[in-house]
Amino acid sequence: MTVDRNGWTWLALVAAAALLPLGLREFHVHLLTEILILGLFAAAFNLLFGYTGLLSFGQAAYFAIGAYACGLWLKGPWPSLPLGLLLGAIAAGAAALAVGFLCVRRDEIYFAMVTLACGQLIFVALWRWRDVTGGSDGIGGIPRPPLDLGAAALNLAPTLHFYYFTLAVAAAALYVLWRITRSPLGLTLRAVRDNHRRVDYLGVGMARYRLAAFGVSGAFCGLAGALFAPYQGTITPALANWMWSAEPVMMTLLGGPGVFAGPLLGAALITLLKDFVASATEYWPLLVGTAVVLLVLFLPGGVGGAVRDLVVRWKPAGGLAIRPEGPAAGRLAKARAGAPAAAEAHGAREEAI
Amino acid sequence: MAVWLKTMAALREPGAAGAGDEERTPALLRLEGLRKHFGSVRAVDGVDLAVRERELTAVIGPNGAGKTTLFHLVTGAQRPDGGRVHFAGRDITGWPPAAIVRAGLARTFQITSVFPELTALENVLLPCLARDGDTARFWSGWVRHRSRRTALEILDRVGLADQADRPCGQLSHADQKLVEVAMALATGPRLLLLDEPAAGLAPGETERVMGALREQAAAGSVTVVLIEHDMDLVFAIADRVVVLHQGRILADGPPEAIRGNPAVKEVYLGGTFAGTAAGRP
Repeated sequence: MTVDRNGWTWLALVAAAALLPLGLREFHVHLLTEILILGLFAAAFNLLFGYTGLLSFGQAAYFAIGAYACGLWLKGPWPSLPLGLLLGAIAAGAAALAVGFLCVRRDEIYFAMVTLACGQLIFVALWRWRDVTGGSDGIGGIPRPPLDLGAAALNLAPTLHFYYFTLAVAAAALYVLWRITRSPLGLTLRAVRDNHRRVDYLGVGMARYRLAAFGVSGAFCGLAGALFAPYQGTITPALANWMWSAEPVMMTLLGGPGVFAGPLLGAALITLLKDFVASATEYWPLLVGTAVVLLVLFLPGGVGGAVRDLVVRWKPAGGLAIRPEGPAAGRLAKARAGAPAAAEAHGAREEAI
Repeated sequence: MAVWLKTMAALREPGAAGAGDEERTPALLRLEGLRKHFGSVRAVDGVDLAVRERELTAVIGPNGAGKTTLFHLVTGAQRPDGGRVHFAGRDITGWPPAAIVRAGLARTFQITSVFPELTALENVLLPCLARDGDTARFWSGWVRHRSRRTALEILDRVGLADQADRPCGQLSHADQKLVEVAMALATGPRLLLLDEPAAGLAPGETERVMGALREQAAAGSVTVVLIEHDMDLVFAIADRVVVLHQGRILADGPPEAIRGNPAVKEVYLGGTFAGTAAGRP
């Protein structure tokens, strides 16, 4: 198997992420772990938003279902983290398919409202179903069982060890998502995003592909949630609340929905911003909010979009530039200004490969 | 002008159905008493129509005659209030649009409808993938997909190979129309419904679009039904002209017969009909 340019980029990024915590204090490694989990959450959200053109305001519900499924499994008689993660992803994906069935035929604000309503329904269910979910107290004391590697077991209790475990899972999940975005399915989803009324007349059943995107997105949100349960040790119904659904929306807008790495970048920026500002002032939401508003106003393609535009400008002969003007300006209303760039990057890569 | 009229006339040759063929060729598309009412408006009011294979039929009629509604009913965009649609020996009434396309009935839209942020190639690639049943593949990249070569060939056939990597939204109106024709062709249709393929195009551009269509008709076994307001075009290329008026078929026959039909002239307010043919720049 040969490694192409994209493969090297992936290897370099994962290697960098593996080396990053070595010089950092434990608290910052903890923060890095959170960035990875939230980055996966936002990237899963962006499969719906940036690639399929569906704004979901209820992704937290699937994150929470993943977290609860994994948390309950880890507190059960056979605690195994890989199984817990799998269970979380499957449970969330199944819930997303059920909700998706109700909402994929709705468009724009109606779609957003149905996802929001269904998300709140799941929130209330987690809050009320006291016997299983612990009600408003949530579930505490979620263990991090050692990872059975056959010959040896890896203790996941230390922050650094859990960081590497999270890195491996998140990198694999992001790789799968990335493969999807460049596959025939990814192309179909982008076509649905561009003109959902048209795809049916090309022999592609629009609703089925939206549903597929919703299910896959839900499963990966669930996987992120399943990582979050042992990471935090305590989970509460607040994870399913619409406020938590807004997190990946903000991260994606900030990082750039048209670039695959945008949501991850946005997760890093928001998490770090929150941490550093919160240590300085108790009015941190005000500052973080202002920063987000300014960035969205002045960088409609997100930080990721701006970075990509810079790269394109610097190497116009490198095959990356088909369209120097990059993402169409003023598409903020649709909030996916950077989206054409994804198409551009895809088109360009074929020359590189 | 004269030159392209001649090219258009050539389009009639491959599809010209002689009198003897009419009995032998079974109808590819057969509409039986098709009806669609919107409140008190009878958009389509009992249309019976049989389209034979390799025939080029033009549907004309004044605005609001029900032409586009007729297309909507045939392609599954709207459900008929009554009547049946038979295509290639199957009753497709009430089928979802995607299934109808997969059965071999494709269409284009009156208002050009493409994927503006996808490249021209990607626009045509999607129906190719759909035809091969590969749109759900999520692991292989499409870059090396076998459908890609098919898509490039089809783009080349409509003369857009050099625009393949440009986002469709940045192409000229005529080129977008051509992309839409290429998309429809890429579904591998037996029957192609074109809703005003020449609308909004300059005569030279019309020639390009229709030239591409003519080549397709000559090369494959595509049967075409088109809605068109450009009378020069209709009389130059159609084997058969169907005149729709207030949701009903007013006249149906070869272009020469339609041109002289007094009822048709009446509908087009006498002079306008002849005027369109003669008075165009």
